[in-house]
Amino acid sequence: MTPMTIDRDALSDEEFRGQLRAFLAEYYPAELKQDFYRPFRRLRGEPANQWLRTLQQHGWRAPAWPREHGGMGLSFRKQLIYHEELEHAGVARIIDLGETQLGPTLIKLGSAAQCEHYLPRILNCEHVWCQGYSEPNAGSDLASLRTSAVLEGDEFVVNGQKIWTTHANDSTHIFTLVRTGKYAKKQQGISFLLIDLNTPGITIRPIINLAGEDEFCEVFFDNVRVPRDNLVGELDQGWTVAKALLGYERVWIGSPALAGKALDLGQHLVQQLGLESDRGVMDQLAQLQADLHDYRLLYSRICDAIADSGKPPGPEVSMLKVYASELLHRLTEFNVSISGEYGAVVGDVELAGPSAEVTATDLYWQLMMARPVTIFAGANEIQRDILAKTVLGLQA
Amino acid sequence: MQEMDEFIAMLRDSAEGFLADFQASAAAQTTIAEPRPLQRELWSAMADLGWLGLMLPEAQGGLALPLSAAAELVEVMGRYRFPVPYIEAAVLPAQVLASAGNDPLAAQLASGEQLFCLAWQDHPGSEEAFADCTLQDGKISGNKSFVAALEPGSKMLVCVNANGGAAIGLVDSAAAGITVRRSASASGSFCRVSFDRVPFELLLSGAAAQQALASALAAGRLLASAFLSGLARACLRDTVEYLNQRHQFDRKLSSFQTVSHRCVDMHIHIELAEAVWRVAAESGTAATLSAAKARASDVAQDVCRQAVQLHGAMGFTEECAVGEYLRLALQYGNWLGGANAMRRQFQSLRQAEVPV
Repeated sequence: MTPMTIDRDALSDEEFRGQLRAFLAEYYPAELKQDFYRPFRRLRGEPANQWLRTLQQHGWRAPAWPREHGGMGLSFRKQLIYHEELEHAGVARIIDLGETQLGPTLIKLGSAAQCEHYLPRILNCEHVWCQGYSEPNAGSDLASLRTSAVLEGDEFVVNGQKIWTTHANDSTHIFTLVRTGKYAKKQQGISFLLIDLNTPGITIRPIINLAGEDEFCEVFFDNVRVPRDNLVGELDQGWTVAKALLGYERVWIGSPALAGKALDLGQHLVQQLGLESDRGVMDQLAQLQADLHDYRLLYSRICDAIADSGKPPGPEVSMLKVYASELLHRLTEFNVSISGEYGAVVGDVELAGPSAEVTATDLYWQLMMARPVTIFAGANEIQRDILAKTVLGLQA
Repeated sequence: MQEMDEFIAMLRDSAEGFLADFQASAAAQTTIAEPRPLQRELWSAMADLGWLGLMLPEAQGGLALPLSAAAELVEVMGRYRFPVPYIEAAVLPAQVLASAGNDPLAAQLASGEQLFCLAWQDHPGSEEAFADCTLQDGKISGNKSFVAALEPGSKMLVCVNANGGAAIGLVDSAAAGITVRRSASASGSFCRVSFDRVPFELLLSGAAAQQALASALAAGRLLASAFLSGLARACLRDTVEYLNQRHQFDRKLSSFQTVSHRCVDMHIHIELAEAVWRVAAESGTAATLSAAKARASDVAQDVCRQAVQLHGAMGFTEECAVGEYLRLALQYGNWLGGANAMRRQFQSLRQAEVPV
């Protein structure tokens, strides 16, 4: 049976869950699982592509894409189960923006030719995409972006700079927001442009982050010539193209999965360090346990409401991003704070308590990897502005 | 299921109308530090609406509705900061009488002709109910703390130690040998009650008595959580309205981020509280119920205290409703298990209920 012929959306929720669980148990490599050492483990580069191809071969790739485009065509509810099972199995996260961002954008707003050319290459990992939105002076205020694309004949000539481009150094292509026109409103005059990173004039410079990883990059464009056919949607209408997916992004960023992994480690540390009789620590832990428990219930309540309505998420999903990211902060801080001197270590550490057991972990990496979650995809301060205005009706 | 949803929508609608009228009447006025007597006329009106016997079987004059329906009603009561001991005088005793299968007494409760209250707690901060008061020769001696809704003419349902076993029975609150020390609360009063050889009529004993109390406390905790969640939501709504109206420095107060972001955080916490009590009402485990009470207790008190600050000097006065909200948050947030105690209970229960 080829992947295309399998309709897993037609399965009952239980059958679906059971099949996915069995598949992951058989095929996901044990050495790549999230564990106490890397509770937020991410794959990139070749290991990531290998796993994505395994998913593809067995018909488990691109859960949200319609089946006619090679995806699984899952309902939102089954997508939730899909993510739950990946979390349950300890599958490492992969930032696969081709699948999660660009594919759905092309399916919604791209031309037939763009879909035909790009979608299969996303699925088989021939093309690996990164997202070129932010610029040095356009972060949370994204619409201030200045990278320009000027039409000359059948080509755009692109000049400018992108920054915070995650995994640009592992990618073959970049989808960008570029300025193509000047209007009174800065959200106008932006276009959504696809660019091959092998094009002459592009320079990529990795930036080392606080966790010691080079996952962020700067991408410089110096008279880069891009075919006009690479424009997605209408000229100057790129803001609308990009915004179409923001709601879903906040739902997935709001997943309690990472916080769950951090709490698992926290509970393990409490045991191993012999802190179970420390009432102060246990009360702090109880607060975090209750916070995650309650948040999981809120998360499913909101996701169920989205699934039931059949409509894209509304502005209220900003709540999810805010709470989940700040809970992740507090959990990683708790894990450092109860670990005494081990909390002072920068990097790998073997943590030993009163018992003979030893835990290999890296509290520093976890603390630092939690930091940007409150910043990216619209800093939490911006999310609160959105919520204040749209959900609470607080007036400016 | 759909029928029940429609019924609940009707129940909420009729509650809105009734409670809004009450809110606008002189009877809604509250005082500080004075025990608030239960208004019998109001109580009869609530009986007429079917509220007093909401969960009682039809044979006992009740509507036989599930706990989740009662939670919906009580959430609306919270929204209208209803200062009436519904949970104390209707829900807790009704749960015990239903467990006892005592049709005549339950029917008297449902019709409002007889007031009841539950005297369960041996010591403040403790879950113990069957140790301190002892039964001997049909009479009880000992103490109960934080007895809520003990009104003139109330019949008390008292949890006692009967030769080392649990028992619940009926005591006439006017009987000789009872001493009461009363403190004021937002919905009425709390009493410390001492019994000295007071006649006791047995209703339940052994495991049945323990189960009856457990189900009454579970219902009480769930409904208190729903009440607090509705209370906090209304308090935040009123605060947002005030911030949108008031100008200082030529700006609306609502336009200051330090103000609006605090409101957003309160809103998120209220959403959490509501998500948890709703799950606890439908299908939740004991751990989820403890989590619901812990969350709602914290959130309601926090929101109401912050409302004082965000209303400025006005919030420190009895000229606006903030004080009424805050006093009810204190009542239901610290009675039947405060946030810390409930969170500890959640912590120990969740270890037994590891999710899949």
